[in-house]
Amino acid sequence: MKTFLIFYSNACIRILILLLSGTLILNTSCSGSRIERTTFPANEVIYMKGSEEIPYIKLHMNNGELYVLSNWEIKEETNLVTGTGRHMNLNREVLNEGEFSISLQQIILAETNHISGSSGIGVLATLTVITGIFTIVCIVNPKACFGSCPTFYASDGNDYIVQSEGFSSSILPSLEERDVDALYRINPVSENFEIQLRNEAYETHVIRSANILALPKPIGGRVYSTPGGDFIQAKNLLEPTQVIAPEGDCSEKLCTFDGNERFSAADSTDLAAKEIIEINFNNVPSGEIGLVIAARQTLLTTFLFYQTLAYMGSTAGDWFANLERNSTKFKTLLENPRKTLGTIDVLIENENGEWEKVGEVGETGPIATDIKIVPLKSMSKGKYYNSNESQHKIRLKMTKGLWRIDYVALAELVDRVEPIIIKPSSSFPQKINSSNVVELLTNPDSLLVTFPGDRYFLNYKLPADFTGYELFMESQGYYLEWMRNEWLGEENSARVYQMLLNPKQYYKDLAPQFKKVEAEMEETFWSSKYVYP
Amino acid sequence: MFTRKNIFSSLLFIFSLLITGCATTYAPDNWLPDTDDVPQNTHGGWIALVTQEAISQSDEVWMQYSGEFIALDEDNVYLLYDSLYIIPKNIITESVVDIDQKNTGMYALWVILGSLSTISNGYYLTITFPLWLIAGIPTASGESFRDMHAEEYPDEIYWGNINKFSRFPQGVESINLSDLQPIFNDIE
Repeated sequence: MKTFLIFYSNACIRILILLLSGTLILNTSCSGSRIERTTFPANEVIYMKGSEEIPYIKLHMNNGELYVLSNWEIKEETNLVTGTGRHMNLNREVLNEGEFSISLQQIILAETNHISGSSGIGVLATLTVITGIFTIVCIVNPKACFGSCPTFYASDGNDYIVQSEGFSSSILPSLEERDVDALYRINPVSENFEIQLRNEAYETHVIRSANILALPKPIGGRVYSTPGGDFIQAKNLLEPTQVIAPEGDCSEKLCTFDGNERFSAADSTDLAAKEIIEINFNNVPSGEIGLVIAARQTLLTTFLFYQTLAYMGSTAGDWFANLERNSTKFKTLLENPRKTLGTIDVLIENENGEWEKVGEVGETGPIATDIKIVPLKSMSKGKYYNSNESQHKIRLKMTKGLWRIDYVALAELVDRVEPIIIKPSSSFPQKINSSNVVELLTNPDSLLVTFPGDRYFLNYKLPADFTGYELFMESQGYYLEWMRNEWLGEENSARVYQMLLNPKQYYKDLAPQFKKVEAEMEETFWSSKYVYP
Repeated sequence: MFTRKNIFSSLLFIFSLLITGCATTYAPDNWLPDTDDVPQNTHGGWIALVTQEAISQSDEVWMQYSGEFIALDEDNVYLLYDSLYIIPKNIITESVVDIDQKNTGMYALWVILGSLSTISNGYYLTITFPLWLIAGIPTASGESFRDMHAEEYPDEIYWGNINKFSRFPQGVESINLSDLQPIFNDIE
């Protein structure tokens, strides 16, 4: 029902915009006149009638004199025009003021003016209201507005699609890190490969490097990165026969990497509450295998990050400066809320029938789906219990409502491989503030700084046999989130301490607040990207 | 820097559209009444006339006259500035009569600020910004042309239509025009 209502309201907004656009455009051509002046010769004055819309009458005399009367009335029985006003000579100097009764015989011409409302003001007011509505959407739910870190777009053959988001958890200089995302759905058509680097949020992005990593693909297989940062060739992908989540069988959603994701709503009492998905595989090969998972985060972490900034309020700068000065100590503290939410734990049943964690995967960021492989060497060495040799069960344990999983599969591991690092060879624009963009991105001691709306086209020269390579985006840097006015009203340092020192309670306390906005967050988030006028 | 440059370019674009799309008024500042005061205003509208090349002054290509629109008769247009000018209708090639003050400046500012405010609309800016351009600019431009009666090579129909905007729509046959006092005395 709720989905229907959201769909219904979105459809209504779109139709409303179309109708308003049409009305406004047509309306502008109808703003020709506001003044309707009517003149009556002497013999027709008798038929004139005053009204609220025509409060004044002008009576022109033969010699050029003029009466301007308000509260005017034409008395048929006496042939008089009566009213209050001024009597002026031909130079429009006032001769008399007060009550007048003028004989119709004296009048040569009578004049009235009707002033209609301004359609222009109506049009501009309507435009202001429309703009205001969309502004309010972001103000009412500012923690759902787009926050992205640098986004990297590449062509999938038809359109530029977001392929990677760089260093999402690097929110400060001291948290600068390297991030590697697979360009899994990209099929380059030539050696000249282009990536669009965009800043689409109210953030300052500080980018040290943006390289392409190329790794040789095995015959009939692909290359995946591991959570540890290695690259492994894999082949013979085996999709699950059944995936059981708390809501039931969701095999269909996880069997193909197609954007049809499995996700759940967050727990209404504890944002860190966990859930388990059980995955069954048949005919698992006997060699070394790994679990391929394509996933991204929901907007829960975006909400939590923005909410924490809101609690920092006007002292956010102090908090971050402190963090910079005591980076080691604060990093440890920051791990508390991060660990409480956790990543996607991969569990396998051991010989004692207990579920044991054998790996974890999951990267911060709600925009680009990243695909990784978790090696399951132990499973293939027979340490783990299998009641039926042809069947293997794997469990994924994760925070409820935190992950959107698109694809899972088992794959046979082939070899570890090392990447060819390809740095950008040219860019458009070529320069920014008289600095060469490519030089900024290739010199480890320099940085490219981008602001909301900035967009760079980076060009890379791939190996001659480019179709034989798996491509990854490797970026390094950090970003600074811009504070929003709407966040300042919630300043509460006790809450920030609670997040750092007692995250379990923090996530419980915030649950009701998140549940209020959870349903509309996706729509608001994607609608609030920063786009240049 | 890149952001500022784009905002500046957008503003320049809107501003140039507004400038090129808006009509110019020939009336001196504060001469014309506000629209709502027109019913009580006792003067004529402001008329600007362009005439053909004067035969006696071969170095003049054309003449432009402007002043308060006093009256019309069968052959002439009467306008008042530092003195009364009587212009034969048959040499007039262009005529513009303006009746009231326009809010073009306010509208233009509204459109510029409104367009800028769409920055806060996120992705919806792709709808709201063009909407401001396609509806806002014609609105501001339309305001500058509103209640302005212009004609090239005006004919009798035109003169008949604008007569009511003169100071003496009843005509000047019985009026002693020598008594008329100029509306502006200081001509530089």
